[in-house]
Amino acid sequence: MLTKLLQYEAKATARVLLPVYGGVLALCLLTGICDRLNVPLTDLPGVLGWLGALLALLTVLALVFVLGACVFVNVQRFYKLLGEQGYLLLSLPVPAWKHIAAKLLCACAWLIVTFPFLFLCGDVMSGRFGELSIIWPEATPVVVAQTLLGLLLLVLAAAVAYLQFYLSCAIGAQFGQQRLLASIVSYFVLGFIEQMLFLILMTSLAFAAYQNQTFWVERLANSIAAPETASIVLLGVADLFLLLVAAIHWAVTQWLITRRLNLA
Amino acid sequence: METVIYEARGLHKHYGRKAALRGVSFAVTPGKLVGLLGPNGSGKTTLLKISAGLLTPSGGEVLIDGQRPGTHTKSVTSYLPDRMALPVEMKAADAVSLYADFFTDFDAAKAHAMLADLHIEAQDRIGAMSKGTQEKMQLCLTMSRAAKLYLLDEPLGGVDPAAREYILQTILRNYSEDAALVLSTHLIGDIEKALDEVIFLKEGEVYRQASVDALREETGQSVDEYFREVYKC
Repeated sequence: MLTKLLQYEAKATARVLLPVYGGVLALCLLTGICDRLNVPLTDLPGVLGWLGALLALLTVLALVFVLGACVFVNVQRFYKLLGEQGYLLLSLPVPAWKHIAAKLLCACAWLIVTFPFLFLCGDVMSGRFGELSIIWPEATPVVVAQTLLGLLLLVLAAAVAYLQFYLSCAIGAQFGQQRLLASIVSYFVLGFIEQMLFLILMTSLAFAAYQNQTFWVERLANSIAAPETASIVLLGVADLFLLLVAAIHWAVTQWLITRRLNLA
Repeated sequence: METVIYEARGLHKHYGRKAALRGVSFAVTPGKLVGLLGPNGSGKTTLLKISAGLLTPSGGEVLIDGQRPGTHTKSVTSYLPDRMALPVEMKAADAVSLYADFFTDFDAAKAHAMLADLHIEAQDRIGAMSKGTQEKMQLCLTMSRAAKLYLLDEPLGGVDPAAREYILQTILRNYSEDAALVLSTHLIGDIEKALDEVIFLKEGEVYRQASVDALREETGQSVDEYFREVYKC
């Protein structure tokens, strides 16, 4: 069932996002071609110069728009689940966690695809394909572990961000009226509460460290022979922390959908 | 003892301070076509939404096939909401595939045949159909399942008399006789002859549950006449 949900989710989001991505790529190509003509903007007649500059500006804005559209479409899919489309989707014999999982996996996949796409757009505009050289360090076990944990951190950060949107939508759906407004307000209130909790946690840790006359991270790092290993431990701790935050968001969202569902 | 496919026990639902359902209790046995009758605001839609697992009750419980609304009850219940729920961006064939993918009791051939009767092509986009056609299509998909329980929320509301006749015939032709069908409406005249039982809801409470024959015999009135008398303003 999860696979089927994923398929429908991927189709539904692709129906909206692929034309957007295609349009932006075409715009980048157009900008690239204009750039390849190699005519300095200052040599062009006034209007053409302005148009060239406007095209370049539009392309940059379009690249930002792609990222925004990717997030917006995926959040909107969840918001719709708790609206009229929920009358069909939530009457399917599928547990709530699979709905959340399908939407989250699809949203994260789109985000992961979007970043290479943005690089591709940059290449198309500049016409310098593959010239961005990355100096890869030697693939030692430590480097591999650091890279994997770092990538996991990025994916988890995206998942936490989406789950916060989902939780806000689920809270907003508890209201009888003005659900969109309630969802937006919930998002900011949740963000504020989470920042406060994070601040309190960090302050408490710092205070505890001060009382012990040492900083726990330093102590941890000192207890591990190599500094590279310490960075792995820190990345692991950060991953676990984000995983915990994601799990809390998910659990509350699932609880609201299963125990407090209130379709308008 | 007669098997019960659907049971509501002391069901309460509050929207803020306003009570939509107040201790609703009744049972439905398989093979019955039950009319859930009442004027607007009597709690019909709320009751069906709770039964379909789309709304959480404030108190009491609903049991379908012996279980509270959840994955199992959704697999044996075919629910028609009072609004258009099919994604408008989908084509007719996509909607049929969606039902076929998720409901094991869905008969895709039957659905395609019913859609062909309505002159709906597989490639027709749902969003481009008229409101009436969308509603009929949703009904066809709902009735193409061999469910144990059908919950139809106002299937006759907002359509012209000719469409009403089509909808009624679609319901009667396609629901299995072993299944129970609960249908909410306030257009009793159109459906009265087909009903086995009626449940009158009044201000969130069950005012009366009776078999249609018994009600007619006792009151000497048709269900429609009785309805008009009970809900007289």
